[in-house]
Amino acid sequence: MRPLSDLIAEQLRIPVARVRDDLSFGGIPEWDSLNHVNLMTALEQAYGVTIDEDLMVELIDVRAIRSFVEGAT
Amino acid sequence: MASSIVPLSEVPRAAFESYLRATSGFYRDRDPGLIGWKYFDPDFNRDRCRGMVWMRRGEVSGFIGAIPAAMQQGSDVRPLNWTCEWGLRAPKTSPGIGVKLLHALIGKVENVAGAGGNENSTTLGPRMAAHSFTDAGLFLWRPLRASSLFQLAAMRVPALGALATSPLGRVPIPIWLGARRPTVRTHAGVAPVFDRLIDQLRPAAWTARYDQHYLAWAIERCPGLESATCDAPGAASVAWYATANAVRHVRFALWAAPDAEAAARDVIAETVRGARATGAAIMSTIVSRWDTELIAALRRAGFLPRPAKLPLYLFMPAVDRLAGLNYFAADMAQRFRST
Repeated sequence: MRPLSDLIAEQLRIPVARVRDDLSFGGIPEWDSLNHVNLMTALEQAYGVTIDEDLMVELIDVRAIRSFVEGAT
Repeated sequence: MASSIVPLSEVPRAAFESYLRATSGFYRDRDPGLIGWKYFDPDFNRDRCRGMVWMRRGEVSGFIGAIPAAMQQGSDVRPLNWTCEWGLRAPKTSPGIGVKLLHALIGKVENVAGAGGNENSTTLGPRMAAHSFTDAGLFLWRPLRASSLFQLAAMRVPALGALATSPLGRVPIPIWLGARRPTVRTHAGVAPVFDRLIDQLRPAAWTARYDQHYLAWAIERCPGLESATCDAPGAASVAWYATANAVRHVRFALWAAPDAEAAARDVIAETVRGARATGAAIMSTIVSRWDTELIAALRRAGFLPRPAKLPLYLFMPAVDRLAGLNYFAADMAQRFRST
């Protein structure tokens, strides 16, 4: 399975080295609302999960996303 | 309770009105009937979708409005939906929901477009639209009283701003309008003549289209606005104009049949007379950059371009431009904020 850091880096168009657990929505210009939706869509496709609006507003940093993905796979 | 994005018609009206008052300063100090007029007018709505709402924990937490209009190319008339009031109750903790609201609206109604708009529109619009323009609409204005010039001068010399509210500010600016044409008539409200002109038009490119039904809602029934229609014989050219009680600014829109240059000139002159009679200090209009004949007619009549331009976002891949921009696009006709 593809590493989560690679997927996040690709969706936010940043180097993988910048993907750390404390990286969060709004913390860098690249992680804005449009790229957040793109990231959620990519997570759904990559891990076969469903992310509704409630979850979307909770998955706002890499740590939360990693925890969700690990729990779902 | 799981959150969901649903049509406005499925949301309790009181919850929606409470949300708009809490999130939009525009509604706080205005006529309490404004929201009811805008979103709950059954004659205008005719069961059409008026927007999508994000409901979370039983509360309205986000919204994007839709204003159903039409667009036309040749004799082909199709629905057009202007976006409006795109926002969230807590934007910083609701990442991505604004995007989801727009996606939901695009999936619900046909041919979505945005004009101007708030921060959501201007930041997300260009990135989400199939076609976007930063300068699709030109603002043209004409000072009618000295106060408007003092306000302009105060941008460079602030002390001159005080003159705008002094008796000197009420002095009319001389404008030569030519001889009055008795055949050019002014009617209170939105006159039925409007549909006669619109039905004659066969624009070569996609153009926003409004009819009597739309204008009656947008202007005649809008709380706080007064309006008039001015027309030349044969409905060759029609102008609508409106003013708000508290603002000395007349806004108008102009339509003209092809090759009706003289009629357009006469209607513009009569509209200026009408605006002056209201005591307005300034009048303004919006014209698409593609409506070159209207721009030329207004420039010949002494209207001046403002530096600001109206952006346009087309969330419809098949339509690569949209002419016919004016104050009826989205909800600009009702948004009298300042002079």
